[in-house]
Amino acid sequence: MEHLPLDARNVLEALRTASRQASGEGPRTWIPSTSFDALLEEADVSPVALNDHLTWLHANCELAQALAPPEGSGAKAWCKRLIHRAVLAVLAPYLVKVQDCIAVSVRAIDTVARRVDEQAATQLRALGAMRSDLIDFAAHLEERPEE
Amino acid sequence: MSRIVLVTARWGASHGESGAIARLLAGAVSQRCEVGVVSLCTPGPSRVPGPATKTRRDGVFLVHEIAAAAAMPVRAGLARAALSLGGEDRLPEVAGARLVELMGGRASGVVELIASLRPDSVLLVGPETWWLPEALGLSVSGARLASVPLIGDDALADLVQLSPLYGGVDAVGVVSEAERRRVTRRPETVIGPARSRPTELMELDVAFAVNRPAANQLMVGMAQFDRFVVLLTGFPDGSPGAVRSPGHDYVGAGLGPVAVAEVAHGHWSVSDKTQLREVPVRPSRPNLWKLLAHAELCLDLRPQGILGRETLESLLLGTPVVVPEGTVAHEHAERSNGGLWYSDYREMFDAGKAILDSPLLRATLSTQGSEWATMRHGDQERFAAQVARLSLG
Repeated sequence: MEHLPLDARNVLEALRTASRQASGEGPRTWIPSTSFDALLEEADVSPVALNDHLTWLHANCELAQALAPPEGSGAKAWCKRLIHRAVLAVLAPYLVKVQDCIAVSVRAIDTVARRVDEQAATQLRALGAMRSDLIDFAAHLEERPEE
Repeated sequence: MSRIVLVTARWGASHGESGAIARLLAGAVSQRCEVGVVSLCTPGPSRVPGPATKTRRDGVFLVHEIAAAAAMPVRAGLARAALSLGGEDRLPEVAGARLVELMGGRASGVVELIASLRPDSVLLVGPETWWLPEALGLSVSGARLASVPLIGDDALADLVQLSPLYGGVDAVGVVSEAERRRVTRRPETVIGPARSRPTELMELDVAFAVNRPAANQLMVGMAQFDRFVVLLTGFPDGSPGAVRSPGHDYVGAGLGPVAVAEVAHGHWSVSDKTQLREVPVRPSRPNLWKLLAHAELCLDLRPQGILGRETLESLLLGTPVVVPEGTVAHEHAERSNGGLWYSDYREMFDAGKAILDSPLLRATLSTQGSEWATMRHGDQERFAAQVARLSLG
């Protein structure tokens, strides 16, 4: 293979460098549940994964940008940046923790939503099978010769 | 034909990884010599004392079981913590006379039993045999004395009571670099001056047989899971009582759309990426090979071990590993360039995702790991020769 040899230590060092650039202690990676069973497309109630509030939470739960220093020029902007720096010097650990808590909560809600959708799909499938059995049974009764 | 007596308190499947190593050592040397096993049996949970000595056949080995003192795990744990915190100058105070028995394994009649077997060599396996080099001194004076302490990176190895295992024998066999460092930590007091000739230190490349044709068959029912990772949360010894760990759900969610096959003592199961469907797996070594051979990677959550057997098997089967930093498994991953390691759970997810997301990285680690493991731990002839040389000189 052309890419051999590869030093695992270099790979790890690259991963650790990337990790140092990220803030907070919560899990860095998470894949929101975007898919659900095709059966749920025809269900009376829409999948929880498509809930507007959940979608909004996923789109807005990343708050790192909200902690960026205020932009602009002039004395007023300079004062704002000074206050921003002073506040962050004291509250940064707390704010980062709050960000992590919010992110983890959103992921927990996402997991619950995914499981609810799975349960709904299982129930729909069971109902479909039962309805199919009943239709077969009714057809069988109709076709049975009169005694 | 030379006769070797292997003495250990870790004979049998219930002793986990060290029990497996004791059996591998006996198996390796049995190709060239006649092997007798003296098993120092500590009382079980029922505490009902059995007969003092019993002889039975276990496969090709004749095992002489003899009742021995049980270890005191609480006291040993306290000693371990004290040794980890204190410096070397504090060792004599920490390792007081009351700690002599903390390892267990002491039994009356063992020396006479070993002498009656008229061995050419006595191989002491496990830290419980620390008292035997002195006790055997005159009784088997003509026989070669060798030890395989199996202490890994355990702080208890620094106890002066254990030093006969490293300095009071003709040869010491270590199974990992961490163990070698621990054994040679105080060379002027541990290795050498206790005997007339210096103790020889040998690193053993423990070799495994991995049944590749069996491993290459996909386990029945596994096709539905597509990509999956193997999660090791306990030694795969099949001991009952273990349940699915919280790490199973956490890893499944954190690594993204991938199924998880968890191996936790006696509870083995595979769950799909939604973690709703769960299929049980019968605990057995061939089934572990089948899981490892088809997994994307092997994620080890276990603490320090003695050998890291599952890591080696994973590398032999060409599956990259992600292991805890500072363990023997980490040693294998770094030496082979066949896996990555982590110091906290965030790094664990990063390393796992890096391998899952990059087929090139996975293929490279797989090739390098497999080549190294096959060269270093796939040669059973060399392992047998090493054990024979350790035992017979």
